[in-house]
Amino acid sequence: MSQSNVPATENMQEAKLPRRDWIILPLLSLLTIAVLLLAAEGAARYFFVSVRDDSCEIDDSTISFRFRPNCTSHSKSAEGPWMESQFNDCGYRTRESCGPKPPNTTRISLLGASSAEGYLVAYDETFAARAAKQLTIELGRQVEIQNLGREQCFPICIFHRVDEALALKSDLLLIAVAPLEFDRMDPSDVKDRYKPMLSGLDQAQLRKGIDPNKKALTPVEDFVRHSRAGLAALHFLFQNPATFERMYMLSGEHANYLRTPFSPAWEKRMEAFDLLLGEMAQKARDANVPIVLVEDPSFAQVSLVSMSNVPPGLDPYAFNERLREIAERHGIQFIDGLDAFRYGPAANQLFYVVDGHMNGKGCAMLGNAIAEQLMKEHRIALLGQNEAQRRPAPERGR
Amino acid sequence: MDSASIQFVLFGLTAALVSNFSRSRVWRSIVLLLTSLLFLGLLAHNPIVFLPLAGFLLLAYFGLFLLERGWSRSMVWGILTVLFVYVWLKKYTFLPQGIFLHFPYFTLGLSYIFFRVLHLLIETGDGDEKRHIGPFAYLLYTLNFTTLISGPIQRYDEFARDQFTPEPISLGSRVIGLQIERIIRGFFKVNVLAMLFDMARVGALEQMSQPLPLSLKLFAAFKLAVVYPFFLYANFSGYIDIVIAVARLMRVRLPENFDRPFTASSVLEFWNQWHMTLSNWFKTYVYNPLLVALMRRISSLALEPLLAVFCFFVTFFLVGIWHGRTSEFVIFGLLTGGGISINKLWQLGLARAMDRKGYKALAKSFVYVAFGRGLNFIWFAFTLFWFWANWKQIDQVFAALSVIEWFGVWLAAWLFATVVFTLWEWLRTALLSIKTAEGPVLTSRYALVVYASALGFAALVVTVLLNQPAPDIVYKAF
Repeated sequence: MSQSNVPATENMQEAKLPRRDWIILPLLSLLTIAVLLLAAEGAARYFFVSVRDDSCEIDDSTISFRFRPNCTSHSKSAEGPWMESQFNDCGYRTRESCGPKPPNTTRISLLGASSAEGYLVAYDETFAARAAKQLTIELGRQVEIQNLGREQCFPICIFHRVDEALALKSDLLLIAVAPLEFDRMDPSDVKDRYKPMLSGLDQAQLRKGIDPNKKALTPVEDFVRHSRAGLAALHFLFQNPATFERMYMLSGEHANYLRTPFSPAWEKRMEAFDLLLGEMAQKARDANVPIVLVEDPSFAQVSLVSMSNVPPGLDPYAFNERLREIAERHGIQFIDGLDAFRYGPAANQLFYVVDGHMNGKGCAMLGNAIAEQLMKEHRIALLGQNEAQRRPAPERGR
Repeated sequence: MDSASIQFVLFGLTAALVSNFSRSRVWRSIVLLLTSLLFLGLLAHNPIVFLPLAGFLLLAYFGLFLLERGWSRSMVWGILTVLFVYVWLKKYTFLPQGIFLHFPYFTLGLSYIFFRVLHLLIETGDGDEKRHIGPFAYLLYTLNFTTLISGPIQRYDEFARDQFTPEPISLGSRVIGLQIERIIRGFFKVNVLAMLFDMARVGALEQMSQPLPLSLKLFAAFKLAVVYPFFLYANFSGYIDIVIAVARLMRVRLPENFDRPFTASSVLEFWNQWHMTLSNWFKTYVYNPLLVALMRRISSLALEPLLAVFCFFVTFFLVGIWHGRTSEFVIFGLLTGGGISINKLWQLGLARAMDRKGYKALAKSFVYVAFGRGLNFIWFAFTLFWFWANWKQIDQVFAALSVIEWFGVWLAAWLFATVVFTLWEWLRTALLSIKTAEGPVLTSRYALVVYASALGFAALVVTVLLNQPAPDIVYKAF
C-alpha cells in the first residue's frame, strides 16, 4: 500500500546481468504464472463445484438412453446450485404418474432435449412445471405436463419419441427445440430416421459427451478443455453480452444460425427438420392431438436481443422466423420463445452463461410465455370441447 | 486512450522502442515530439478543440520571448496574464459564465502545462541563469506525453539535461527490467487495487443512504472514511509509476511523486511524500517568496515562526483550491492549509513547552510516530470528502449518522490506521532484513521477477475478466 517508488537499486542498475539470469529469470516468471494458474484451478474447483450424476440413465435400444423409472439423482452445475432430478414411473421428469390420465385433468406431453428436461434447474423452476402451474390457475383445472425431455435428445431423437408421447393420451403435444440442438444434428442421419440410434459403446460415450468419431484428447488437452479456472474465467467474462457475442461469433459454424442468409450446413439442418416435423405433425393429426412447436432461445440470441446495436449481418430472429415458416407449412402453432425475452432482464441473469442453459429465471419467463400462448390458441383443446363450451373464454389484455 | 490502460502502456513502450533506434538527441527529440502530437491526436480528433490550448502555449511563449530579451518588468504581468487565461480556460466558477468560450475544447493536462510554463517564466524572469529556449524545446517540454496528463511536474533544466544531452543516460538490461517491473506494478495499482477500492467506496456510499441497522451503517461510514485515500494513492501513484518507467525507457528521468506517503507521522511530513512535485512547486514559487517577502516587511524574530505558519496555510490553501473549480475545493484548501498550519503550531508549541531535545526524542518515539501516522491518515481521509464528493453527497453522508457516531467512526479509523501502518512497517522492515551479499532478498531481481509476473498475471486476468475500464486517473481532471 505504501510501497516505495524511489528506486533503491539505482546503483545496481548499471552492472551487467549474469548470463545465467537470461535463462533463470524467464523460467522464474513462467514458474510463477504456472503456480498461479494451478492455484486458480484449485480455487475454481473449490468454488465452482461440478458433479454430474448419471445413475438414472439406462441404455435404450431406440433412443440411445432414457431415464430409469422412479429414480432420483443429484447433480450440480459449476454455475448453479445443487439440483435434484426425480423421474416418474415412466422415467419422465414429472411429479405426476404417467399412468391413465386422472379425471378432470389436462395432460400435455413435452418432447425436447436438455432445456425441456430442465437441465441444471430444480423441478419447480423448469419451464414445464412453470407452464403447468400457470395453466392450472388459468384453466381452473389440473394441468400436468409429462416431460419426456432428455438431454441430447436432438430432433431425430424427438422424432423417435412421438409415438411414445402420443401413447400417453395427451390433450396436446409440445415440441421444444433450441438452436444448439440443431447444431448437434447430422442432417444425413435423417435418411436413417426409422432405424434405432447409436448403441453399445457409442451410447455410453455419447452420454459422457464424447464424440466417438473424434480422436482421444491428450491429458494436457483434457486438462485445458475441462479446466474449472477457465470456466470460472469465462463465467465472469460472459457477464458482458457484447463480449460473449464477440467470442461466440468466433466459433464459426456453430453460430451461423445467427447469420443471414444461413450457411449451406444450416440450410440442410432446417430442411431435415422440416421433413421430420412434417411426419411428426401427420402422426399427431392421425391421433387427433394438436401439436405445438416452441423455440427455447439460446443465450446468444437473448444477448443479441438485449443489445442496443446488433452487429451488421447478425439476426437473432432468423432461426425463429424459419421455424415459424416450417411450423405454419405443417399447420402447427409456433411459440416464439425469444419474444418472451425481448423486454426481460439482462441475458446474463437468465442463463448459466458458460453452460448456455437457461436458469430458473429464464425458465420462468419461457414457461409463462408458453402458458399464455397455449391459453390463447389451444384453450378448447386443453379444456376439452364440452368444458370449453360451458366456460366462456375470459377477456385477455396484452 | 485511457491514461493507464493497456493501450497507453503499449503506446508508451512503442514510443520508447522507436526512440532507442538511435542515441542521437535529434532523433530522440523528433520521436518525443511526434509521439506527443500523436498522443494528443488520439485523445481528440478535431483540431479545432486544440486552438485554446495552442493559444495558451503561444501566449506563454511570447512572455518567455520578452523575458529572454530583458523585459524583466513584464514578468509580473506575464504571470498574471497566464494565470488569468488558465483560470478562464478552466472555467473556474467564481468567474462570470458569460465570459467563457462556449464551444468544446481540450483542457486535459492544462494544469500541468500551466505549472511548467509558470516555472519557465519565473526562472527566466529571475534571470539568474541566461538561457534560450527555442520553440521546439518549448513544445517538447510542455507537450511531453509522459507528463502531459497528470504530471509529475518536471523542472525544465532536469528535462533538458536528459533530453538534449549528446550522451544520453544508459539503458542496460537491468534498467529495462526494473522499468518493466514498475510498469506492471503501476498497471496493477490502477487497474486492480484502485478499482477494488473504488468499488468498496461506491458500495459504502450506497449503504449510507439506505435504511440499514446502525451497526452496518457505522461499518459503511468506516469504509467510506478509510478507503478513498488508498484508492487515490493506488490510482495516482500507479499512473505515475507507468509514466516514470516509460520516460526512463526513453532515457529521461522524471522526478518521483510519491515516497510512501502513509508512513508520514505528521501532515507536514505527509506533503513532503505525497504529490511531491506539486508541493515542491508550491514551496518554491509560493511559500519561499511569500515568507521572504513577509520577513522583509516584518522583522520581529518572535513573529518569524508564525509567519512560516501563515505561509504554510496560504501555500496549502492554494494547493487545495488548485484541485478543482467548485466551492467544495475551497473547503478542501482550507482544511489542507489549516491542517498543515495547525501541525506547524503544534510542533512550535511542543518545542517551546519541552526543550528541543525532549521534543526531538518524543517525535522519534515509537508510540508517537505510530499514532501520528494514524492521525495524519484520518485527517487526510477527512479532508478528501471535499475532494471526491459534492455538497449533496457530503450532506447525505454526514446526516446519515449523529455527531457522536461520526466521532466513534473517526476514532475507530484512527486506531485502525495506527495498527495497520505499524504492522505494515514492521513487516516491511522484517522482510527487508532478510539479505544476501547483493542486498535484501525482497528487492533482488529474482524476487522482482516473481512479484512482477504475479502482479502482471493478476492484472491481466482481472482486466480481461471484468472487461471494463478501471476508474479514470483522478488527477487527470485537474
